[in-house]
Amino acid sequence: MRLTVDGKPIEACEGDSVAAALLAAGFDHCRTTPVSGAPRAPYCMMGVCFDCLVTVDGVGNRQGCMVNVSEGTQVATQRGKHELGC
Amino acid sequence: MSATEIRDEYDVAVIGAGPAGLAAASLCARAGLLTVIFDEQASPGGQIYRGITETPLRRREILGADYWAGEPLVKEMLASGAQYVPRAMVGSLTPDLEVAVSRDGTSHVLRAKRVILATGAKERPFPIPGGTLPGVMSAGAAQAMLKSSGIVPQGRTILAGSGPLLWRLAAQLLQAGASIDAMLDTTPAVNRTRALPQLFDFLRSPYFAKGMRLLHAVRGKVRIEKGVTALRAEGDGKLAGATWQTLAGESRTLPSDSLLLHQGIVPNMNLAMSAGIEHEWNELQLCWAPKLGVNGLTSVGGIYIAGDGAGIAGAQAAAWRGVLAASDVIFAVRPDLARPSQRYAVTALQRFSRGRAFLDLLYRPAEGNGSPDGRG
Repeated sequence: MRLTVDGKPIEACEGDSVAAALLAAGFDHCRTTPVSGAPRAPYCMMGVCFDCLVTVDGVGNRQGCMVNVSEGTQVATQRGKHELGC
Repeated sequence: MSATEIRDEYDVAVIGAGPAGLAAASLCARAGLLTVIFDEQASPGGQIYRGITETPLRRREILGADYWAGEPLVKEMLASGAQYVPRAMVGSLTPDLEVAVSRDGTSHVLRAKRVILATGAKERPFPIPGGTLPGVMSAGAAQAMLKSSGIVPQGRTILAGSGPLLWRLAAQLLQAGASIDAMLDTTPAVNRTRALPQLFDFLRSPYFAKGMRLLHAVRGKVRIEKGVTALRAEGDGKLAGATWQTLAGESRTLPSDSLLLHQGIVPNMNLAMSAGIEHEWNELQLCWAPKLGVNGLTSVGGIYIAGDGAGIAGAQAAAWRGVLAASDVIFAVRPDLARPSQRYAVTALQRFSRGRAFLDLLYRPAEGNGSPDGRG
């Protein structure tokens, strides 16, 4: 199935988490940290580390590893901190 | 009320659909208890049996027989009459057994007469300098991706750390056709001496043969460095390589695109702690574990803990703990039912608990591996 990441289309399979799809598509990182802007990528892939935070379909701070892909899912890498209500 | 609607009250709420939760929920449901089993993943199996109903991996040898042994457990739960609620995050559990759960953006609050927590384990943190670089992940992460998505790390891959799961991952990756550039074993040499008193029990346990098979599958196929210390991940913006000190004290470095870290697993006890359940520090396993009475009863009446969340003992022990907790719950909720003997389950649990102390001692993390500066 197809999803977009920062507007770029990528292919993923049913059952993939967003985080797995990003890694499989070769993305270097999925977010930058609020304090130093350091790039981060998924670490634990099971929902306990919170390093894989991305914006999914407009909702920020989603753990990419806990969200499964659907056709047309829109993912945005998260730059710095996520503002509530945005 | 549709089959998927979450009710206000249940006889028993099981939290977690790994081996312990699956066994517990099945037994309770089959005994006629109104049973719900919540799990935060989209499909059952927990971490150890992750993706077992939908893994894209066709060849069973990749994940191995120990993994596929979980299949009957899952099938039984799905057939048992328990209400299985996936993608459900239990956010709170109170001492009076009120459960708050969030699913698809909606919250539900319910009460259960008994609660069985089976939230399993997570990896013991292995913080190293450079450990936050993209490209550094846990061994469990690689396993999760292999199980759920059938993908393996690309490029130059290094496994580093200590413990049976690291070897299991190596065997699985090799079976899947991935290449492993090196295994950096951080197991301290002194552990072998410390584990020796437990060797006899280990030889008599189910884990000896399993362990031998794993070692055999990996040795000779992967470059293994022993006695590794001072591990660091290096790179600018993403992982470029790993450096470490050898047993002889020499500095070594290897370029790498994926560095997979592991130094054992520890109980995932956030929910248990938030429910006010008493815990104590386990100095051997270097983790917090709940103080448990018979069959997993916690310090909070009506709440049981089964599985690795009770203390790390592996998947088969987890299932038998689930059986024992469920057995007590069934008797509490339905004292009118004939009470079968727990002897078989107790004996089975003992059998699968034997040999664990050897593994705990052998793979106990090195002093200083609890913090990146080597001081914790």
